[in-house]
Amino acid sequence: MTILQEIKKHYELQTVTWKEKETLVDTDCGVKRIRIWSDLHLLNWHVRWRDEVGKNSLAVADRMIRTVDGACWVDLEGRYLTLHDYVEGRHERGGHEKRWGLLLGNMLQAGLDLQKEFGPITHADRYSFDACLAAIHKLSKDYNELVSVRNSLPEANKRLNLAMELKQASSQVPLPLLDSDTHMSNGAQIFNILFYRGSNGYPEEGYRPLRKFLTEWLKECGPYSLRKLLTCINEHFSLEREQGYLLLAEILTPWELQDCVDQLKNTELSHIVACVESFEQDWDFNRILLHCFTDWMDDKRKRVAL
Amino acid sequence: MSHSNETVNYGPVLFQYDLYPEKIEAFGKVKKVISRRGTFALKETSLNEEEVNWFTHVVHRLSEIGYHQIVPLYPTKYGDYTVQHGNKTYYLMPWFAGSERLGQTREEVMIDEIGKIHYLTLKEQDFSPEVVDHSFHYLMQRWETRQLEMERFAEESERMPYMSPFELTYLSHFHHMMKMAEEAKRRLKDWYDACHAEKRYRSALCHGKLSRNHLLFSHNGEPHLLNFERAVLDTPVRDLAIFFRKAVHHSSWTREEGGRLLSLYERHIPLLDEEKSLLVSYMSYPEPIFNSVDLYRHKRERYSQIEFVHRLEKRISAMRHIRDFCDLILTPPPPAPLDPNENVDHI
Repeated sequence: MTILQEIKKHYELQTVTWKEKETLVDTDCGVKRIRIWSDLHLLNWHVRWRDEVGKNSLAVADRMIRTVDGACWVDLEGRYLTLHDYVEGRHERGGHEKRWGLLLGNMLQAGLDLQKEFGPITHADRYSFDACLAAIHKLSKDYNELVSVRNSLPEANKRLNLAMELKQASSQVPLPLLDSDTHMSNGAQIFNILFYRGSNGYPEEGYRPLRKFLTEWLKECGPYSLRKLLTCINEHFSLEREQGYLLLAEILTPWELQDCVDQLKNTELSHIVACVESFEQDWDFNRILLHCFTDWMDDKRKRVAL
Repeated sequence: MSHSNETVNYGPVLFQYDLYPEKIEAFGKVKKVISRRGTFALKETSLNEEEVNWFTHVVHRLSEIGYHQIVPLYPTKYGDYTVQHGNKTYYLMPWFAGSERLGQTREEVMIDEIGKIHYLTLKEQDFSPEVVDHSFHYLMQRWETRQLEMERFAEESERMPYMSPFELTYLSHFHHMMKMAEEAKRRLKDWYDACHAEKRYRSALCHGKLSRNHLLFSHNGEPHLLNFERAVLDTPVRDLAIFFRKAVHHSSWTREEGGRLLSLYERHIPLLDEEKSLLVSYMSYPEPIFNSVDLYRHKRERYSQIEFVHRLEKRISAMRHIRDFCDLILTPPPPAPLDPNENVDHI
């Protein structure tokens, strides 16, 4: 039986045709996205966090559409097919902090609730400052263009140590799991809903995906909107105590340095120049992000004290 | 009745059902959603999460135990039976627009259906004197507090230099109301004593909000109950009292009609003597009259004097029907006719 026939049968649809081979199908209930999974445990994670996030009707993830029997997927002899809504376009960002805050707050809460169960399938990048250091020292001998990168090393080291201290202080606190591909561009709008397209990748333990998201937000919407977003996330998931410190630790960690080193594997001069430019920009944005977040935390603390 | 802006308002909810309405018509808290995929009823409620779980459990449980005369709930495409939107909860059902079969009134169908539900869910509870004591004292205290409030209103009305038509009507029936309240309390005590003496107490799944509007007919005339939002495990008398309190308002009501409806119910579950006392007690307490006094006291701007008087008089008249019906319930059944074969000589 072909995939289209399987979909037609299991989802009781009248018409199903390919809109985009292996990805999108056109049905009598609109355009739907299909995903094929081979790891059942990973699939379960994606079902659960999407369901948790979809408990409201204003900011939802692309939950698995249920089959006529109420199942979340169709078994294709060792592979699993899921069907999702497909929404084109993008959801507005600035000015819609409440809705995005609801989405991110619910994602964090779901990630924390499911942390024990799905912790073993997480994927995490390990940060090796020594490796970065060695690579930059080696390359900077040959390329003067890397001076700004080299100059950032003392501060990066300081930030890393501070991040380690914060993580150490909250070492008993569980970290939420997050979809590794958490981006603003995944948000679309239908009716009045923020419809968020999740990925099919392994989850990441900790705040790195959120840090990336916040940086994107800062770049597009500015610091004022970012502070508003943090306040809105905080309404659904507290960032004021340990979880806030763990996010701070993630923001302090100089990931931009490692990203830069990874890029420098290609030693073409024009590529190196572009990398350095990108690094400088990321470095500056991360400073602003750090400043915004610590300011926001201080503000929260002051309010409590008052 | 079509409102184009409602498509936007209900969009986030209907999206979860893959419904793109062509037209939405409002019928109070129910919206008739007409779409290419059919016509549906979208119900808006204020149920919280716990109540939603209970409500959906009740609907599924009834189906599991073989009762299928309920309007089914359609799941969303994600398998949920309700949708939370803002501070409201919505659920979707088929739109039933059939009419009842000839030969049976709506009341007959309703009492028959509720009898079936009670029969399927009836359970003899382990007798707990504490539970019965608590129920008795709680209700007695509530009724006495209400009586005091009404007495105070009567005193205030009497002190008025010029009584309003509503106050005048209320005062002229006050004595009678108090007599009914006392009768209700007496019957409640009878129930309490009988429960302790017999050491028994039955409960069933009660609909909790029986009304003519909560019975619909499918296109082939099959009756279906809906709105189990207030469903509760309680004495079956709870539903009966609500049912009869509303039924007496109907123009065709007679005490004999009430007796016939009750016997229709008792074909499924014959009431125990103490349950009859409890039914009389529940029905006799003049709460509907007290409610119209509350409305007059607190929302006087909502209706005119004449409307308030009209409402009160209707309820007083309904209480008269109730009193007659209660007399019938408490009348012992006539002795069984003698067996005509008894005196026949058998050779």
